[in-house]
Amino acid sequence: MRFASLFVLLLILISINLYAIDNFNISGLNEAIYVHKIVKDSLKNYFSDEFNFRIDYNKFSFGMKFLAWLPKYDRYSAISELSSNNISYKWDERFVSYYSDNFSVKAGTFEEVFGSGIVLRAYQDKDFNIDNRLEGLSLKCSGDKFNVKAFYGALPNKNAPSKNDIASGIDIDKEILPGVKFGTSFASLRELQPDKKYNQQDVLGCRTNLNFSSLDMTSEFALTKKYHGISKEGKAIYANLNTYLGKFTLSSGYKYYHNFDFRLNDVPTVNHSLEPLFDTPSGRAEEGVLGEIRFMPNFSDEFVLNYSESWNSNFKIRQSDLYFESHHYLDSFDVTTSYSQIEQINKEWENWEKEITPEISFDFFIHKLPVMIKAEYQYFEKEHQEISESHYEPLLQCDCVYKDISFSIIAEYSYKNLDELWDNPLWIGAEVKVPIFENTDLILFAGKEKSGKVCRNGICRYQLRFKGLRLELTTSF
Amino acid sequence: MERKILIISLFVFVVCNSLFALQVLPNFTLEDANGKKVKSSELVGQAPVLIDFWATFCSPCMKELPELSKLQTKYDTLINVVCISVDKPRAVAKAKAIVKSKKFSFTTLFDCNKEVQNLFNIKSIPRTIIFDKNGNMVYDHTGYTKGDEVHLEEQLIKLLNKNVGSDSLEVNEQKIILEEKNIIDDNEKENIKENKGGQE
Repeated sequence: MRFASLFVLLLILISINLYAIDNFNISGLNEAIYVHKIVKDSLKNYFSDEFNFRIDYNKFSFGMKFLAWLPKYDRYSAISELSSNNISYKWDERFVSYYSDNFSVKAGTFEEVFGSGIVLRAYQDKDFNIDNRLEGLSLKCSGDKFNVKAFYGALPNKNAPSKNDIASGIDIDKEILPGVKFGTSFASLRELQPDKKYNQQDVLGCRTNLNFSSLDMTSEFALTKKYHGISKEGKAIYANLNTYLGKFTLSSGYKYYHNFDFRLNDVPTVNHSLEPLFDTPSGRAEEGVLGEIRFMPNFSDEFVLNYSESWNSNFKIRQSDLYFESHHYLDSFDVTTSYSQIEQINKEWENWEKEITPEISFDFFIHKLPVMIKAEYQYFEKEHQEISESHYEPLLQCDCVYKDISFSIIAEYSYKNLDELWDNPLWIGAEVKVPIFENTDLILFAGKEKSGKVCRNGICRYQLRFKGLRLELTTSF
Repeated sequence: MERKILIISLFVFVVCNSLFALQVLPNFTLEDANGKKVKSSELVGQAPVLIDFWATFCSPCMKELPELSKLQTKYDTLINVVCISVDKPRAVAKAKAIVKSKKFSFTTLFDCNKEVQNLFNIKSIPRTIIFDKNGNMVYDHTGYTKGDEVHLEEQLIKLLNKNVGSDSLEVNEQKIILEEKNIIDDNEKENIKENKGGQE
C-alpha cells in the first residue's frame, strides 16, 4: 500500500513538473462508459474505459491507448459464461514517432492509405467493427512537388489471430504540371493459410489527379495478383469528375472491380448512401455509375439531385440509389428536406429490397432557445422467393439547447399496415449532454434506439441497436 | 492489487493533466482542396486559428460550415478559419465538390488517413477548437446547433480584444479594423481616436 501511495505521488509530481519543460506537451482523452443494457442474455451492467495519451517533446512523440472492460460484452456468450467480475484490459495502441516538415517516421501501431483506398487502406472503424491497422514501421518523405510513403508491418491473421500476416507497400506521387498530379503505388500482403503456407497477394496501381478552379478529377487504375493457392488476377478502375459551372456543380463517378477483393483496401462505393453492392468481400465483380447535380440559385437556397446504379458482371445483382435534398437557409430559420430511395435486386437469391426515406427538418429559435425538429417516414419493402413483406418506420426528433445543456428526444415507431397502427410499442430515446468541467462532457441516454447513423444534440455517430441506459464521461486534456 | 494501482494511477494521470494541461497546436501537414500542402506552423503566428472537424455525412457539420465561412469573411485577415474534412478516402471527392461549389472563404484540408484526427482525439464531429496566435488552445466545443456561431464569435472577439492593450503599429492597425467592423470594446475606441489623431 505504501508503494502504491508513493507511486501515485511520484506520478503527480512528474505530471506537474513536466509542464515546466519547453516544447513538452501531454494530450489525450479518457472515455468512460457505463451501460445498463436491457437484453435477455446479458448481465445488464457493463463498464468500459478508453484512455489514450500522447507525449510530445520537440519533434518526438510517444503515445499509447489503454482499453478496459468490466465485463466485456459478448452478444454470443451464454449467460452462464458471463461474470460481472470478469475484468479484461489491453494496450490497444503504442507508437513512437518523429515528425519534421519534410520527413516523418512512426514505429508501432499505424494507419495508412494510398490514393482513394483501392490499393491500400489499413484503418480502424469501430462503428463497423473493422480493424486492419498495422504494427510496424511507416515512413513519409515529401518535398514541394512530391510525396513518398512506405511501410512494413504486420496484422493478426483472420483465422488465427495469434499469428501474423505481413504487409508492405510504397506510394509515390508527383506534381508534374500545376494542378496535375500523377501517383503510383504498390502493396503486398502475405496471409498465413491453414496449411501453414503463406498466400501472397500484390496490388499495383497508378492514379491521376487534376485540380483546377473549374474542375477536379481523380482516376485510378489497379491490378492485383494472388500467388500460391488459387492463383487469381483482378483489376479495378475508379474515376470521379466534378465540374463547377457558376450556380451548377456537375459530378460523375465510375467504378469497375473484377476479382479485386484485398484485405487491406477500401474500394469506393460510388453512390450517395455509401452502400456496397456486396457486403463482403467488396470489389468482387461490380460496375457502376453516378451522376449528381448541385444547384445554388442564391446564398440561401440549395438543391442536390443524385442518382447511381451498380450491377455485377452477369446483371443478376443490381442496385439503384436516388437522393434529392433541398436547403433553405435564413438567419433565424432553416428548413431541409430530403428523399432517399435505395433498391437492390438479387436474382441469384430471388431477393428484392427497397428502402424509401423522406425527411424534413427545421432549425429555428424560440425566445433565443435553439430548437431542431426532424420528421422521417421510412418505408421498407422486401420480397424473398415470392414472399413479400413491408413495414413503415416513422420517426420524430426534437433537439434543443438551454444554456450549456443539450436535450434530445426521439420517438420511433414501426407498423406493417393501418390495422396495427396503435398495437405496437413506441420506442422513445432521450439524451442529455452536459459539460460538467471545462474539458469534460457527460452524455446520458435512456430508452430504445435503432441502429444506424444518429445525429443528436448536434453530433453525428453510428450506433448499434440499443435498449437501456448509457452514461458517457469524456475528458480531453 | 496491481489492477487497483493501475486504475488509481490512470485516474491521477488524467486529473493532473486536465488541471495543468495547456494544449498547443500540434505539427501536421495536410493538403487543401487545390492539392496544395498546408503546414500547421504556417497557420499560427499572425492571427488566431479556428479549426473545425467535419464530414459530408454529418448534417450538423453541413449547417455549421456556411456560418464559419461568414466568420472568415467578416474577420478577414484577423482570423484563420481552417475546416478539416474527416471523410474517408472514398468520400473525399464528394467533400471537395461541396467545398468548391459553395465557394467557402475558409481553408479546407483533407485528413482521410486520420492523422490529425488522432492528434486531436476526435471522437465526435463537428468539433470546433480555437487557438490563439501563439498556438495555445483557448476554446474547444463538440457539436453544432443553430446559434452556436454567436457563441463562437463572442470567443473570437474576446481573443481579438485581448491583443488591443499593446501599442505596436500592427496592433493599432488591427484596432482600426476591429473598430470598422464594430467589434471593439467601447473603452478602447477612445484610444484609437487618439492614435488616429496622433498619426495625422
